[in-house]
Amino acid sequence: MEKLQVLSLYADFRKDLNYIEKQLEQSVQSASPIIRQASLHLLRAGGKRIRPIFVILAAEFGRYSLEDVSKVAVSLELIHMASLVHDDVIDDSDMRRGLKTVKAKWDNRIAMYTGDYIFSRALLSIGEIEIPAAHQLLAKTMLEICHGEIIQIDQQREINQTFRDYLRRIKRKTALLLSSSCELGALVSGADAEVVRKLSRFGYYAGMSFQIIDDILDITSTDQELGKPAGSDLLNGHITLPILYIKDDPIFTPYLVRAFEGTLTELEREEMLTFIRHSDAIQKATVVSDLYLQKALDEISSLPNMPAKKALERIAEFIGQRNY
Amino acid sequence: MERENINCYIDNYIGELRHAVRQPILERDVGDVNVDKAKVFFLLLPLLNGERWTDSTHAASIAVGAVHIAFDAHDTIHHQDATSTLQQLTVLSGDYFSGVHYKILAALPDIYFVRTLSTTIGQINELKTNFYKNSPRDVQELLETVESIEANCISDFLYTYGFSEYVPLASTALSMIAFDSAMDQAAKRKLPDILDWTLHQHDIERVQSSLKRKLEKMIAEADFITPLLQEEIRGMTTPLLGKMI
Repeated sequence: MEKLQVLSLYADFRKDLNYIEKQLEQSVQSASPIIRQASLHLLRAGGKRIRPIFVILAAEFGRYSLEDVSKVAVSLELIHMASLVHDDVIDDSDMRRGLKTVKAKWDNRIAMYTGDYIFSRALLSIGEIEIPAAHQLLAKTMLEICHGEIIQIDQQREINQTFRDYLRRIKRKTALLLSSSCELGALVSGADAEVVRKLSRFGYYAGMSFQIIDDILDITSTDQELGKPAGSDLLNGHITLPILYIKDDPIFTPYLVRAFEGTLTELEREEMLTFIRHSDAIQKATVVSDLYLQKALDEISSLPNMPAKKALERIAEFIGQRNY
Repeated sequence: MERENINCYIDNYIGELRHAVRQPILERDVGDVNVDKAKVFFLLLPLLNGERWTDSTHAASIAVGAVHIAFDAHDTIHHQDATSTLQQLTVLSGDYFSGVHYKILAALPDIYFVRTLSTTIGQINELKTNFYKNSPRDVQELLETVESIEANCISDFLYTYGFSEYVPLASTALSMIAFDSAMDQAAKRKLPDILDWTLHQHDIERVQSSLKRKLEKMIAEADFITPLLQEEIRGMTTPLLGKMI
C-alpha cells in the first residue's frame, strides 16, 4: 500500500524517473560479470529513489535538461548505493530490502570492489557536468558523509551520547546527500541563487526527518517489513533518537547494555522492542521529525507555485507518514 | 639533482599526502597511512627530472596518491569478517581517501581528469574482482592485469599532465616491482590477495625475465632522463636484476 503511495507521488515525473532508472542500469554494466551481477542485484532490490526525484524536482525551478538531470541523479543514487554496499560490510549485514546483501551473496572483498566500482561510475556520471561548483559541493558532501560514518564507528556502543551527537550524525549520514540532491538539481538547471539555497535547505530538513523516521521504523516495523532484523541499529551499537529518549530508563538500560555486548537473546530482543514501542520515545522522536518537516515546508513556501513545488510538499508529507 | 634531494622530494610528497588525507579518528585508531615509495618516485619522475611542474600538477599528483592509498586500504579488508573496529575504520578510510582525491580534483578544477581517473579506477576494480575469483588464463593476462592495477592511475596522470614519454618506463618498472614483491611473498607463503593466483612460480619468473629485458632496454634508450635517475630506477629494481632467473 505504502509502495503504491510513493509511486503515485512520482507519477508526474515517472517518465523521467524511468529514463534515470535505465541510465542507472546502463552505468553499472561492468565488464566484470560479478560486479555487474552484484550491482544489478542491488539496483533491482529497489529503494525509494528519493535522491533522483529530488534532483528532478529541484531542476524544475531552472532550465530543465533531462540529460544533465540524469547525470546528476545517477551519480547521487550510485554514491548512495556504494555506501550501502560498504555499510553492509561494516555492519556485517546479511539482508537489505529483503534480499541478501552483496557481502552475504559473495563476500566482503567483492563488496569492497563492487562499492568502489559503483563509486567510480558515480564520478564518471557527474564528470559529464562541467560545473566546478557542482563537483566541489559533491566532493564536500562525500567527505562529510565519510566523516559522519567514522564518527558513528567511534561512538559505537557509547551509551553516553547526546541529542546533539545524534543530530550531527544523521546530518552527515543522510541529510547532506538529500540537501545536495536538491542543490545540485537546481545548480545544473541554472536556478536563481536564492532558489538554490532554499531547495538545499529543504533537502536538508527533509533529510533530517527522513532519517529520524528511518530510525523509528527500525524499532516499530517487523523483521519482514524491514527485510532485516528490527532493532538492527541497536544491535550494531548505534544509538538513535528513540533510544536517546529511553536509554536511562532502569528497565530498558539492561537490554541496551546486553545489545551492545552482543549477548541479547532473540526473546530479549522482542521484549526490548515491545518495551520501546509502548514507551513515549517513539512519539517524542516523531515530534522532532515533524518539526524538521515543517521547517522543510517553510523553506519552499515562497517558491513559485508549480507542479514541482506541490510534489516536494507531497513528498515531505509522505516522509512524515511513511511506514516503510 | 642529488640522491638526497630525490629522497627529500619523495618524503615531502608523502608528508603532503598524509596531511591531505588527515582525519583525527583514523589517525588515532588506524595509524599512519602507508605510502608506496616506488609509486611516488614514478609519479614524481618528471619533477625529479626537471620538467615544468605547476601547483595544479602537484595537486593532481596528490590526488593520484590518495587513490592508491584508498586501494591499499580496501585491499586489506578481510573477505569474511570485517567487524573489528580497525577493519570497520579501514573500510571508511578507503572511502575517505577516495573522497579526498575527488575533492582535490574538483578544487583545481580538472573535471577531465576526474573522468579519466574514474574510468581507470572502475577498470582496476573489475580486474581485481576477476583476479580474486578466477586465476589468470595465461602469463600474458597476468602481466597485463598487474600492470594495469599497479600503474594505470599513474600513467593516466603522466599522460594528462603532458609527460607521456615517462609512461612506458613507469609502467614497466612498477609491474616489475609488483612481481618482485609477489615473489618475496610467495617465498614467505604470504601472497597478497591481489596476486593470489595459482600459476606456478616458473610462470612468474618468465614474466620477470621478459620485464627485465624490456626495462633494461627502456632505461638505455631513455636519454631524456638524467643518469642519476636512470641509476635510481636500476637501483629500485636491483633486487630483481641481481637475482638468478
